[in-house]
Amino acid sequence: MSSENRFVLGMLMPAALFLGLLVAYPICLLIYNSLFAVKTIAPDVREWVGLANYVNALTSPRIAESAARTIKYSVFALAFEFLFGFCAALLFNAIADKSRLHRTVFALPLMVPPIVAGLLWRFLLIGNIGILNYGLVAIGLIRDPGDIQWLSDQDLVIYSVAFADIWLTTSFVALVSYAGLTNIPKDLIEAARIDGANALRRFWHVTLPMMRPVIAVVVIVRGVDAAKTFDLIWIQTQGGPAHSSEVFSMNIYQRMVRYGDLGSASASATLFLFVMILLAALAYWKIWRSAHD
Amino acid sequence: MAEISLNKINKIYGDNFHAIHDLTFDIKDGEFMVFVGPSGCGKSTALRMIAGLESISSGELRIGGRIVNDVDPKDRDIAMVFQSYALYPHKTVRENIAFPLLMAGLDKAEIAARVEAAARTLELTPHLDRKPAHLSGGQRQRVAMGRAIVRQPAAFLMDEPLSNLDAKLRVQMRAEIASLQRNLKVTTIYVTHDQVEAMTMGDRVAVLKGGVLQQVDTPQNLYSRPVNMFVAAFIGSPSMNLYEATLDGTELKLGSNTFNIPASVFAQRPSLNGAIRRHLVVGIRPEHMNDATLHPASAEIKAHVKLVEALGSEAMVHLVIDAPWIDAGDPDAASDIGHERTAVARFSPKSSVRADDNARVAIAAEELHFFDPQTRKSLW
Repeated sequence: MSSENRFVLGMLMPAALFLGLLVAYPICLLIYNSLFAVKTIAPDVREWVGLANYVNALTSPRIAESAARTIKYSVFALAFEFLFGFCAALLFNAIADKSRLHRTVFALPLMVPPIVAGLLWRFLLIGNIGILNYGLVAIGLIRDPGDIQWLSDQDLVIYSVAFADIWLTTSFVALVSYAGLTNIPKDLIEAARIDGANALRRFWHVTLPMMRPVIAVVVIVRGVDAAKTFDLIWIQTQGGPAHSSEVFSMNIYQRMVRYGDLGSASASATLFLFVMILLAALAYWKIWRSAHD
Repeated sequence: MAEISLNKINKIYGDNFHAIHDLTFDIKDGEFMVFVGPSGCGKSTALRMIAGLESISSGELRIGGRIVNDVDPKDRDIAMVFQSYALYPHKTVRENIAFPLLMAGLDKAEIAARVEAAARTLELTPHLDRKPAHLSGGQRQRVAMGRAIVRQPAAFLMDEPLSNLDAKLRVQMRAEIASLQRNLKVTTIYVTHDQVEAMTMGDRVAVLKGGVLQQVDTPQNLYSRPVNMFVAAFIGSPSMNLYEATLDGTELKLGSNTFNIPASVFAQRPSLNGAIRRHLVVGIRPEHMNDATLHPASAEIKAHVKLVEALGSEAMVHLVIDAPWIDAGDPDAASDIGHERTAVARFSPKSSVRADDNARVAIAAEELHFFDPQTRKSLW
C-alpha cells in the first residue's frame, strides 16, 4: 500500500468508525431483531421466527393502510410544497434583488420546530373552535364552523394534517428553487427570447429543464422527509380518529411502544428503510442523473 | 433583409449612468457593420438595445423601416449569437438549431429540411444528435451560428462571438463568418473589442468610446483618416505613437529633433498652412518609422532604443523620444514597460539596432497625423 493510500485511509478512518458505530450497527441490530419474536419488556427472551415477522407485516391490513396513507400524505404535501415553493421562487426571481426581505420573511417557518407548527395548526383546524372554519364562515364558504371536521373526519384528516407540513417547508422548496433559478445563465433566457419563445415557452423549454437537478434534490429530500413524518401528525391527532391519520412511522412506533412487539416493529422498520432507499435511488437515477448526462 | 437605422439613441440606467449618448447612424441592407471599442464603451449595450434585450431610454430605432423601440425581441426578426453561445445544454445540436423554427410554428418536415441544410453549411451534420457539452469550442460556435442562420432573419447580431476561442481557431472562424455573411447577404452587426477583427471583417466599423460614437467608416478610412486621437491610436496595431510637437512654417520641432514637413501634407491639411510656432500633437504609426541606416529619409530623428522584439518578419523597436508623450485615452491599452513612455517602431528585420543603442530613425513625414491638443481632433 502506498503512503498516499495509507494517508487516505487514515483520514477516512474517523468518519468510517463514526458511521459504523452510529449507522451500520443500529441497522444490523434492527435486521437481527426483525428475525425474532421478542418483546420490548424482556429483550433477552427471544425466539427465532425467521421471516414470519415480514410475512405478518406484508399481510397485515393495518400496515397496508398506514403505508397507503403515508403515500397519500407525502404526495399531497410534496405536490403543494413544490407548487407553492416553486411559484414563490419564480416570483422572487422575477423581482430579483428586491426580493431579499420577502425571502427572509418567507424563510421564517423553517425556524419553527415541527411540534410547535403541529400544535399551531391543530388550534387552527380543530373541530368547531378552529379559527380557519370561523374564517370560512365569515367569507360565506360554509354555514356553520362545525361543517368541516378537519381533524375528525376520517376521509379528510390525512390531508388536513399535511397543511402544517406544507406551511412549514414550502419555504425550503422556495429557497432551494430560488438558488437554482439564479444559477440559470441569463444568456440562455435571452437567447430563447430572441429565438421567439414567449414567457411560458421559455419556462417550459429552458427554465424547467435547467432546474431538473434542483427538482431532483427537492423531491428526494422533501419526499423522504414527508414519508417519515411523525411528530407533526402525532401532536395534531395521535394518528386518530380510528387510525385514520396513522402513517407508517406511527404504526411502527405504536407496535414498538404501545404493544411492545420489538420483532414485528423491527421488521416493518426494515421494510420501510429499504423502500425509502429504493425511492431515493430511483429519483436519483431518473431525475438527477439524466439531467447531468 | 433589412436596413437598421439608429437615430439619437440614448441609454440611461436607473442610477443615472449615461451609457450611450445620441447614437446615430444607418446600417445598409446586407452590410457587415462592426462595433468596436475598449471595454465599457457601450458597444454591447448598443447591440442589446438593437436586439431588444435592453430598453431604449430615448431616440428611435428602425429595422427595415419599422420603428421597433417597443417591439419584443422575438418580433424584431433578428437572430443573435452570444459570446457564451447560449446553447441549450439539455437539447441536442439538432434541437438547438431547430428551436427558433419550432417557436415560429413551422411544420416538422420544413424544420428538418432547414436544420439539415444549415448543418451542411456549417459542417455540423455528424454532430446533430450530440449535446453541446460533447462538442469542442469551435463546434459550439458553429451551432450558435446555425441557430442564427436557420431562421433566415432580417439581421444577425453577434456579441463577441469569437472571444472564447483560441487564437488559431479565432482566425479561421473570423474568415468563415465573414464569408458566410457575404454569401447570405444578411445585414450583420458584430461587436468586438479586437480591432483586428473589426478591420478584417467589417464593411464599415463604428468606433465607440465612453458611450459616444467616435467615427463610422470603412476600415481603410479609419486607418488613414481617423477623426481624433482616440480612433487614430485604437485602430492599428501596435498603436499610433502620439507626441507633443511645435510646427513653425514647414518645420516640425519634436523634442530636440527638427525636420521639414513635405508640401503634400499641407495640401492635404490646409489648416496647417502658415503655422507660427503652433503647438500640436503629432501621430506617427509604427510602420512609418524605420532604421535610417537602412532606409534613409529626408526626415530623421534621434532616439534611444529601450527594447527590441524580433518577430522574424519584422522587429518591434521600443524607442525613447525626448518629446512629451500623449495618452490616447484607451483604457485597455497596456501600460508601458517601466515608467518611461516609449514609442513603438516597426523596423525591417535587417536592422542591427540593439537595446541601449542611440538610433537614427527615419520618419515617413508625408504619413504623419496631426491633432489639436485641446479638442484632440484631427487637423485637416
